[in-house]
Amino acid sequence: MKRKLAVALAAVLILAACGSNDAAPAAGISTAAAETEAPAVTDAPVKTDAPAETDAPVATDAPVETTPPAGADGVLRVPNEFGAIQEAVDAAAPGDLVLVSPGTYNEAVNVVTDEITIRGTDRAGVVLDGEFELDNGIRVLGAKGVVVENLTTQNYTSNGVFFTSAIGYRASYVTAIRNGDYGIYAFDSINGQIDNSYGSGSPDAGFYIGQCFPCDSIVDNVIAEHNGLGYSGTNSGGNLVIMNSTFRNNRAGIVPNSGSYELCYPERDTTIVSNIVHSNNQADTPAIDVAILAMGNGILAPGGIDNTITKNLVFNHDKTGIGLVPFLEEGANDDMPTPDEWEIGCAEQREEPPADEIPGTLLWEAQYNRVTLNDVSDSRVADIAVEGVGMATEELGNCWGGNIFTTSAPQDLENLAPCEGQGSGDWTLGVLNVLTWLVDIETAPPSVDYKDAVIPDPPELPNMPDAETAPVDPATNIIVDVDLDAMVVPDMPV
Amino acid sequence: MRLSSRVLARFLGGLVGLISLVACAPDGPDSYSAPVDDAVVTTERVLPSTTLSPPPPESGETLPPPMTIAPVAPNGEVLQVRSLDNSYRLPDAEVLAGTEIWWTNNGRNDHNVLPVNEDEAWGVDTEDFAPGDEYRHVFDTPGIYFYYCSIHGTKTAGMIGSVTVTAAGA
Repeated sequence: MKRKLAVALAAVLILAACGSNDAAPAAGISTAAAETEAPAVTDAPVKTDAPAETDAPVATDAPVETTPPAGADGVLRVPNEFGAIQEAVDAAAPGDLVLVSPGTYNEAVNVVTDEITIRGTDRAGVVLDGEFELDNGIRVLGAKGVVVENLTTQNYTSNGVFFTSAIGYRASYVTAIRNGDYGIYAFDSINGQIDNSYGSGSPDAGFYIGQCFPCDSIVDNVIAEHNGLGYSGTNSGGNLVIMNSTFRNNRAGIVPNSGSYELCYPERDTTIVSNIVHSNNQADTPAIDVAILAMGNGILAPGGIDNTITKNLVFNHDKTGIGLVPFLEEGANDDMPTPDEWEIGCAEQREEPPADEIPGTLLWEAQYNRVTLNDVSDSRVADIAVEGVGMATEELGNCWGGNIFTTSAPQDLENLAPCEGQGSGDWTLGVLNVLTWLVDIETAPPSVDYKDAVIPDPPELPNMPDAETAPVDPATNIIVDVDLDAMVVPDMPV
Repeated sequence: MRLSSRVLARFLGGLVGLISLVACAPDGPDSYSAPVDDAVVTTERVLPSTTLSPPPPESGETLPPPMTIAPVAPNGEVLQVRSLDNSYRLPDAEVLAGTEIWWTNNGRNDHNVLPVNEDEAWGVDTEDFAPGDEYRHVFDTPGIYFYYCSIHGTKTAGMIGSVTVTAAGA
């Protein structure tokens, strides 16, 4: 399948829209928030606690001055006006801002109201802590346009921030540490953005976008380290872009994959561009089985289809820098979708019943991926690699071109399958032989319990600019429109 | 390079033997035979006088009057409901009274199966429903039984499901 990636605006425009004061104004609260944003107001005692104003004598013909209820200005302050984040969220209306002051909040917050923003005034100081007892730090269930920004979620048994069935979502300047499944987890959600965030110490992935097609979503300028996987995306794609981010010191870096353990298979049409991906051989992380199997790979697309992997800087991996490999799924839940079914949108596909006869296993091949213009080095098995198992490797339709690399498996991969022109050469020379990985897993370092894993302190992470005063910007206008021509290979980090 | 079918078979066999990439599903329904112990456990549960679950609280609807229908014996029928990440498949099962529902966690994440009506004595908690785990329950009384995964949903949204049980011959 050859599908031209729709591209138009520069990535700079995407960045400019993220949390900028110049972003499209939000209905209602934006202006009010901007006009009442002086820190002194935020920190001032709550008027409802000051009886003097209402107890004072008043002229009979003068209007009685009444104290507006907490949050009447569209800003619901925690803990000044509401003792818990959940209380403020429950009281919030669409367009409202739940503004959280520094402190530790042992809460699992559920959000079902559209277009509210939960924002910490200090990224490192506003900490939601699950104490290894609570499931999810902030869980957005079906609500549209919700934004979570400038806070930390840690020690949850499942996820730091979890969007599910959300149309429009955004997580910005979020730090997610030591959570039991994922750091930031967007499932069955579309039109989303995860930016300027950090995920560490999760056995599955620091960041995840799955079960969506088209996703129309973007991961931009995040750091994932010391997770099982830096990024995982099962059965997602369709205008889904992972860019300008760093994935380092995980078991494996960026791993989009197919599998029938979620709906909307296969994974297809994800763009991975301008990321720094290095040293994903970390043996002492928490890790699910897939992460242990994928360990030592920078960008790996097990069973991925029609992905664009371009202009990434990838180095120092025990196996491959960029690998296209099959994914064997035991305990399948449906039969294999045919190529004509790949184009079916998730909304339609998810309503389809499973096949009457389901095979015991599914072998998802990596097909029609394009690997171009990457700078890949220092890979112990191969800088760029591919292998088919159920299909001949040369018939998978993947292509390579313009990469800077030293080793490939099979040998001379860019001449075997160039993205431009006809390929030639011998596909049997220097094959990858993923079977050896299955032997490796026997002796691979086991997972470390996420509660006990030694993970580094986060690097210095920036606060959201003007967190106390910036107007809200509900995630109702996420547009993913990246000009790949304007993207570049990142410089080597110092 | 195309692998021969023999090599492929050996490879796949090796894969199956060596690794568990994702949750290992139990044997399919065709190979299932209900253990006697399970049936005993099921019948030992203290069933409420009515097992008609309420509709989701947000529905605003008034509950119909409770039905008092005598439980029936297990009929040997089994229906599998797969807990994927993060949905139940089939989400809305319809069975005859006496049918066993067999939930399997075929996902990569932990899940649970909790009745919406907390007075109902069935369901499985997270610690007993990790990937690869299973849970069985015989629904022996007609009614509509709503359930959910508390990790990935609420009583009314997200990862939710229902079992509609009708009387045999109804």
